Amino acid sequence: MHTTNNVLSEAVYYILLSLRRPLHGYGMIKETERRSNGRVRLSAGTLYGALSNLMGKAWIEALEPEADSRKKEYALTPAGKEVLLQELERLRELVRNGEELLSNY
Amino acid sequence: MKKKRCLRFFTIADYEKEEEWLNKMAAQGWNFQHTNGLLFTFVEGEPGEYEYRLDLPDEQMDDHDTENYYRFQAECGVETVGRFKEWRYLRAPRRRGGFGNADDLGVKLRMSNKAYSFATRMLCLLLCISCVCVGLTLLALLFANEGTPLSDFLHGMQLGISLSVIVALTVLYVPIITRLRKRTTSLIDRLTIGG
Repeated sequence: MHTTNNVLSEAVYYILLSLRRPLHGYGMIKETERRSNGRVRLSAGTLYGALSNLMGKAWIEALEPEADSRKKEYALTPAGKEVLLQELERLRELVRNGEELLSNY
Repeated sequence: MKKKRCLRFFTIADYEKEEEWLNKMAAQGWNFQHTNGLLFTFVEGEPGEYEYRLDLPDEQMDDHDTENYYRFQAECGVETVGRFKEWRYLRAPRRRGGFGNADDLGVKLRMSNKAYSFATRMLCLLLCISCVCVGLTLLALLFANEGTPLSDFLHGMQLGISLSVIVALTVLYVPIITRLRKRTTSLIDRLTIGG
């Protein structure tokens, strides 16, 4: 049963997935591209806006940059992981219903 | 390094055409370097090396946020090549995926909305300045003590110029704002309905 009704965009879904381990912006772009076999390529502008929103919802957090790096890294929070699991369940439901209703169509 | 200069004029509503033209030039090996709004300077480079995009900083961002936004873009490989007024000319190497393809409609909608707000703000500001000029001239005409024919003539001319500026601004900006509003509405429809 869903406690909230968050429907994630494809970009946000992949951003959250990529943050299972801390990553900086370009790392997220590359990870998303790799995971989707090159189909989804995030733009830096979209990513910046998405990261601000996700931090506002406390689904991700910004980590303090290491002394030798100027790039800020981000990581998934427990709340973000919960949202991802709910989204996965929603996607399973979509696929299940689609397969069931279209199998004999 | 070879350089090329081209004379072009684009209104605020033509930013997508301007992007297309810059990308066409880049595909031919001419990389955008600088503009003053009319004269565009290009330097010779590798054909198709970069993808270009125009950007306007978000009006809700303060200077610090704007700086952070463009620093983040730079960290992701997006370079700010040039600026003209509020407009930023960005480029991203195509070998690193250019500007990406996710959320294309969202990006276009945000940009169209920013251009629409920018054009509306510009019109309001310029109209306010012109109206203040008209008001001051009228006050000067009303309260001038025994104005000479020359001063009356100068005030009249000032009034005429100010009123002409108001008419010119309205004629110039209203079609631009209308086009941007229609573009924004059409993008909202596409985003909602799909396609």
